[in-house]
Amino acid sequence: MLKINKIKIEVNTIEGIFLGEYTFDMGLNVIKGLNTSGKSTLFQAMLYALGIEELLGGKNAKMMQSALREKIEKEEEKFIEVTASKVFLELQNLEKSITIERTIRGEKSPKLVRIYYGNLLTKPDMLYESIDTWIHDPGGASNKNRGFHYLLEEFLGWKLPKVVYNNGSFRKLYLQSIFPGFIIEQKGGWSDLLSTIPHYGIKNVESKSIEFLLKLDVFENEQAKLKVKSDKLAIQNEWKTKYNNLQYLLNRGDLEISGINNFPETLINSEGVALYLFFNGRRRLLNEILYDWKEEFKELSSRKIATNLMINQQNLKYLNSNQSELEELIIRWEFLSQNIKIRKSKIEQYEIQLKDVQEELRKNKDVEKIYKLGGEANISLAKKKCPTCNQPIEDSLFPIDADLNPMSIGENIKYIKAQEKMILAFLQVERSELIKEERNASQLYKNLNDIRISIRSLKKSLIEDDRIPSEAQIEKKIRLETKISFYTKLVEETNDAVEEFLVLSDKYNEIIGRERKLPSNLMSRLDYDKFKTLEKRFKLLLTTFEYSSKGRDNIAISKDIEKRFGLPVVEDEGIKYSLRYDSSGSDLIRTIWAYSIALLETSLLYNTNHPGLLIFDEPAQQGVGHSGFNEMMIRLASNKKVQSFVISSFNESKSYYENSVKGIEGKFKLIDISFKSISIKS
Amino acid sequence: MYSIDNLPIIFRSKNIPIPSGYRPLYKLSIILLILKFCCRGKKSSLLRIQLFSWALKSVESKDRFWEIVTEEINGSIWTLDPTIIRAINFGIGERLLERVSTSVKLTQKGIKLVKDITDNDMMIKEIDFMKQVGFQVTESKITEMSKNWNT
Repeated sequence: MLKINKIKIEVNTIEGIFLGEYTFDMGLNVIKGLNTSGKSTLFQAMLYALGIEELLGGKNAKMMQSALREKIEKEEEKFIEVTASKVFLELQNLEKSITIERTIRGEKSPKLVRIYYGNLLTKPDMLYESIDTWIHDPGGASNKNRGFHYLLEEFLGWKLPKVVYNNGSFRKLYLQSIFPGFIIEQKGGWSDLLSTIPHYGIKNVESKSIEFLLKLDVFENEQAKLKVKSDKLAIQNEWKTKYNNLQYLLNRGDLEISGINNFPETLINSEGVALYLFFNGRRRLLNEILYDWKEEFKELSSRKIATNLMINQQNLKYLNSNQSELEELIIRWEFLSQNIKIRKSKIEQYEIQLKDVQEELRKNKDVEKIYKLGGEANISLAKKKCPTCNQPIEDSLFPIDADLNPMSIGENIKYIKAQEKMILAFLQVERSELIKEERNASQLYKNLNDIRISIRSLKKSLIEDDRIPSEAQIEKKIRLETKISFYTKLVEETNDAVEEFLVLSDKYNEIIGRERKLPSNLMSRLDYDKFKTLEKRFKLLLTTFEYSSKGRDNIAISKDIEKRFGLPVVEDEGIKYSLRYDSSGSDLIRTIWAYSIALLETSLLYNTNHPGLLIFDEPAQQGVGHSGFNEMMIRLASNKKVQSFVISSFNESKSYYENSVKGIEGKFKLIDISFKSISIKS
Repeated sequence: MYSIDNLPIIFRSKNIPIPSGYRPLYKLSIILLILKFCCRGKKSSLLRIQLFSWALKSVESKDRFWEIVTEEINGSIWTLDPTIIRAINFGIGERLLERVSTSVKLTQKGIKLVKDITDNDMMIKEIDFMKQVGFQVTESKITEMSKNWNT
């Protein structure tokens, strides 16, 4: 519960102090005065003291009227310079009271807010503890000791949930996003439901605000779902990074791995993981090759190294076969290089095509959204009808006589997706072929070098002293030894990396488990009850307030979690319209009265987060006239369990005022401002 | 009974895919956005709408657009798209647009739809481009450019 006990505005000038002090009761409070009387100054100062002046469209003191910042009117047309000004607001919840003090003009920063723990305004003779807090600064909403909004949140008994922002971060919902559900401001507040919510890049922030006010279970379920989604994404990213690192490691030895892919999997084990090497143009298990090498090395080590004389005959044979092998390898190498070049240009072509197709897909998705939006905004084209004659038309801008059957947007998207899939498949094949070819080429290159070295040392042996040991044989042994130790080390490093994938896989498994446990429908039974009550009240109040636009019978509270969830919509042939499009201006105002009050009354029946406060700033807008206004006032005045405010000039007409309060005379607190809401202290 | 000689053969034309730019409501939305983000008073001549619509077609045309607008290349020609006038006529029928002498102007309903488009994070790339251009292509600039066409 939140009750505003009293407001006090202090304005210092060289000619003395100006004061505006007003006490408020439970039930309806009416603040009445001429348009120039400073009613709005009073209302805006309330928001300012709560630190939610963003509802007026900006931050800090610049949002306040000039009377509080520059010049104040002392008497008719006589203005005096303001030297300092501040506002006090005394609030009460079920247990305690606090008083807020915030500077508008003066030496203290408007970002500094003082909280007194007590009734500074209604019982000013006592001494109260106080604390200085900060607002609109980093930490203003999260700092436990010094953040004003953190402390205000605590005072309201709220625990604001975390939501996903458009940039993907997962942070607390701002306090300022909740207030437009029960404080409707005159300039922007009447153009649509919750229209003054600052967006801060939160998806469906209006629905989030309503979900919070009604304390719906859907919120938690939705959060759990989003958490799963973001956790999954995090694992995917980590997995990908690790996979790239692994590939980098493997590339050092031209190795290929099986059993681990570049996306997370739940069931992987170390036995299924194997390493392969392209050797002499063939893909073989690294373990087998290593075994062969080790055997060969053992065999070489056990043999006595022959002298040149002993093996020259044989060396000559080797040399011949080596040279023909070299020629063959060079031809293969050139052929492979040519292939790689062609494949690279092919891939480039596909990539350009893919980009075009993806751009068209993005546009088509926009087309789909636009048509959905158009349906909601009641635009004939969205229903493939001519706006003028209402005849069915083709959904294309080609000339009528072109006589085509255009695909529906859904078909079109499927068609483009199929194209995308095809190109992606081609690309995947080409890319994996390219990787193989490049690996082959690199291995071939190594083989080429090996043979060249071998030829060189064979030639050397043939011209060297016949009695010394064969260099070719020694060379061979050393190369074998290097290769064995290099690959043995690489295998060890790979095994370490694979361990990390096993850990990630376990984590992924846990997330998938959580995902399975989520209910398919996010609304709980209690949520449905709340919606039912809200809808019933809302419709009843629309009738009471003489709402007369068409489609009244089709109004419902949207249960579509993606679309205006918790907000009223008109349903026609399965399409949901925003009420904004179908209601006349004055009926939109009645909608906002009805919805705000229905929300308040529903919240009273269930234990929700709604503070039981409602403020209407100049609710008689848009030529709303007499109809419904009196009924709205009666509804508010009859509810003493909550505190409500109606701030209005009542069209500056005595009869309009009398008509508005007919039947509730004496049943509400009237604050009648005769000249100015803030006047000089006598 | 049918025999192979009198077997009836029926040909059905398959539905054909339509490029996004040829969907009436999409094209119309592009026009609404152009009026909102690139035209003072939310009002424009047809020629200016043609220029922007052409610029949005591809990466190449965007580059060419900047050349035309910033470097004042002579003989600047952009293609005129006959579907735009059809889209505008639909827009007038829907009361999203209104005709003001030789120009078209956004109506209140049109402004509301634009707000919904931006609120719903749609057509982000297009809007980014339009915001980048802003109001720098004035009607007098368009007139100046179109004079070059005759030479």
